[in-house]
Amino acid sequence: MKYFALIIFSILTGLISTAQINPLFVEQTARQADSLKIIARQTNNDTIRMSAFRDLTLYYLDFNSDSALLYSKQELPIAEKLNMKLWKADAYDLNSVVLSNLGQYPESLKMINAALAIAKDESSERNIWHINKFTTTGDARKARLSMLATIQLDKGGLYRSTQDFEKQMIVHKECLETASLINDFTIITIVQLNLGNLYRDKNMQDSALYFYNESISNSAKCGFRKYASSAYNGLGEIYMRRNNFQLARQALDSAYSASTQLNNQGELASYNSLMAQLLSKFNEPDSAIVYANKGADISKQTGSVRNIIKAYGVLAEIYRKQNRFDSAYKYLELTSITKDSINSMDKMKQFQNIGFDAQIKLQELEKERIETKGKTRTISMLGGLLVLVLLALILYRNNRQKQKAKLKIENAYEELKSTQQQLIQSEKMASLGELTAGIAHEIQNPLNFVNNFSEVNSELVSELVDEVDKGNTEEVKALANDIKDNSEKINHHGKRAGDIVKGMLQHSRKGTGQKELTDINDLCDEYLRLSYHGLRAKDKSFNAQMKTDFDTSLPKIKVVSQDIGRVILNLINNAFYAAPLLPKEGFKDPAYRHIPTVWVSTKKEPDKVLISIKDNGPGIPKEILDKIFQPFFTTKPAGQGTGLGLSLSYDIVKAHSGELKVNTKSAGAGWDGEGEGTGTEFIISLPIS
Amino acid sequence: MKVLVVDDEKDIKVLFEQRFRKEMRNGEIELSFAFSGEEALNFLHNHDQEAVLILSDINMPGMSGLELLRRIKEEHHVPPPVVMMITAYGDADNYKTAMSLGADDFLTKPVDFVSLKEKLKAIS
Repeated sequence: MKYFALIIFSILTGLISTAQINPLFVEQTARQADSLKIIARQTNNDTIRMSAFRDLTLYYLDFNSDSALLYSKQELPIAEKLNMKLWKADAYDLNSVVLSNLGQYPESLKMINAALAIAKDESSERNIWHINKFTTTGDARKARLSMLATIQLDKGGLYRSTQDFEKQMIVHKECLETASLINDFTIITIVQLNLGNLYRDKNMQDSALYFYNESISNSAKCGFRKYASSAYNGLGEIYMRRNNFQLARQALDSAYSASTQLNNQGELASYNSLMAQLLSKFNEPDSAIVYANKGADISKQTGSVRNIIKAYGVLAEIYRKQNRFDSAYKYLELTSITKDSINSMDKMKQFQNIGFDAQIKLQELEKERIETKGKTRTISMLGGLLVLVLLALILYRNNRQKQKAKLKIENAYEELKSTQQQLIQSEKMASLGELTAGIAHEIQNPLNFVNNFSEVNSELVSELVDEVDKGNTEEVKALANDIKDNSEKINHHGKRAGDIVKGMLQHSRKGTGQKELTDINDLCDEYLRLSYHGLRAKDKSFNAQMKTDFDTSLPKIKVVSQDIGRVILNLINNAFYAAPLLPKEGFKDPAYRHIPTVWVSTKKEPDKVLISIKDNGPGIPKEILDKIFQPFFTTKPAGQGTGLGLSLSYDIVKAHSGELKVNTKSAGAGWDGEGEGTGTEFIISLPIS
Repeated sequence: MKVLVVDDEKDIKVLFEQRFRKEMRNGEIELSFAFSGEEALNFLHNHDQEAVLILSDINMPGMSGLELLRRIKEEHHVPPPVVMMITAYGDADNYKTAMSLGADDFLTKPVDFVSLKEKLKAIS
């Protein structure tokens, strides 16, 4: 059934598309309309249904607005759903005309504008379904322009209905241009007729004649003769006004044949009324009355109030001329009654127009708003652009400055780094200088002995030879003993110098010692004794107390005992060095007798072993506290310290994953009582595992 | 000539005794030794005006040679003993300080006994 419908539809539209008339204006016959109704009812194909509803709308448009509305209302949602652009525009257009015919002008205007928007959009030319509906050429652009011209034509009609003749003129001229572009004589014919009517109403006779004649000739060209009778009637009326009755009669004769041919009752009524006027002027009142009555009758049938008035007016005029005042009065009264009704209709129209005007105003406002919005948008966009450009410039400048600054900072940083390196180096060198001085002293002293004793020895050997020659055995023995003692001293001081160099190298030497389980208490005890006796041996005046407090629960831990021993020794040596030192300011209590003391203690904590080495010396001044672990830093007089002890110790403890901390209370205000609680405490913290 | 030698190095005694073996035997020189500044001051207090020449090391624990020099020049005015400073540091600072404190000469280690002997001859 579906296919059958499709075939029928194709045949119908096929027939239509062969005509030269704009296919949009081709109306269906009553039989075709019946077929279309069947098709619309039976097919499931949306496009075919849409097309059928469309043609049915057009079929009913001129004589049954309600039916036209019914079909147009069914067409529209399908067109919207399928979103076939030109079809949608056509649906809006037809809806607009239907609504206009029903006096719903605001809605009509909305529809026509929607249609116009689509038809003006070139993208509507894409993928036109059944293009033959819009043009016989198959050209997409022509199809769109054909639709556009049609919509412009209908919009002009809408303005005519609302009696806005100026707008009608503008839109119709636009329509004429569009239609001329595609040589669409169907539309040209219609729009020229409308323009003719417009000029006729304004009594611009030359223009009216021109457009009527143009319309008639174009109508003949394309074979679209539907409105030809209307143009002829128009011509007749103009010629009548010009008292050119012969041409008027010719035009009206043509109007008659055209209107009867096409069974155009409205134009036939107009023709009769015009004929009545003409005959009345020819002083043929009886014939005139016949025509006028005929016109009135037809108009009554078609319900055209204006034509009725026209006919009654003609009758009243004829009777007045014949001095038949009763009849004249009767028709004048009828005219005025009818005019009243038409006035009320006009009032209705005016009432409708309020909505229409409001609609137009609304549209203008909207347009203005959009324009203003556009302007505002343009201005704000320009402003925004300016701001953006400024921002970009600022950012660019900032960025450049940043880049420059970055470069500067980087350079400065590099400089700083190299300066720091140099500083470290120079500090090292300075320390090294001091160290060198110390080393000089420590080495020059033994060297002094080595040089001099060896010289003495060579002298003694010469003396010895002399004494041998003399045979002085006692003296020879004594000299030999001296030489032996001296060589021992040379050896001793040579070794001493060697030890100093060895100690110096210790700092740079890498530890090769293996970690072994070590009793820290034993280690501390051992090095404490070593340090104490070493110092005592070196300096008999050295005297200090040493106190120990070893935690007997201390577990053995894995350390490189040689290294940790060195740390402990170093710290104990430092403590023994510091303990006897006196505060610069002296003791506040003159009665206080300072007993230099060194405390060595150990303590077990859950996961570590603490070794504390504490003295009651003057403490470390704040200003140098952060430097004490730096290599080559020393407060000892030149040659007495390398400044490497604490630095080395720190590195060793670190290598054991431990910590070396210092607590100190500098001498001064606090140094006025007992030694306990003042001085310096170093704490070595070593992990148990 | 009585000479007091001050140095914390104990072996200095043996060295000087051997170096001045002949001079001591001849009675030209009489050597005394002190191993610290304090000891040297004590000696000078106890043996007033005895030492004509003092040879002192600068770098010593406790009282330094320079401090000793200052004290000697302060306390022993008439006749002032000749004080010669001996140091391992041949640096300008020590030299200047020593000279400003009134040192009569400045020697560096290792001591050149030949030149020392000539200086002693010049004094006596």
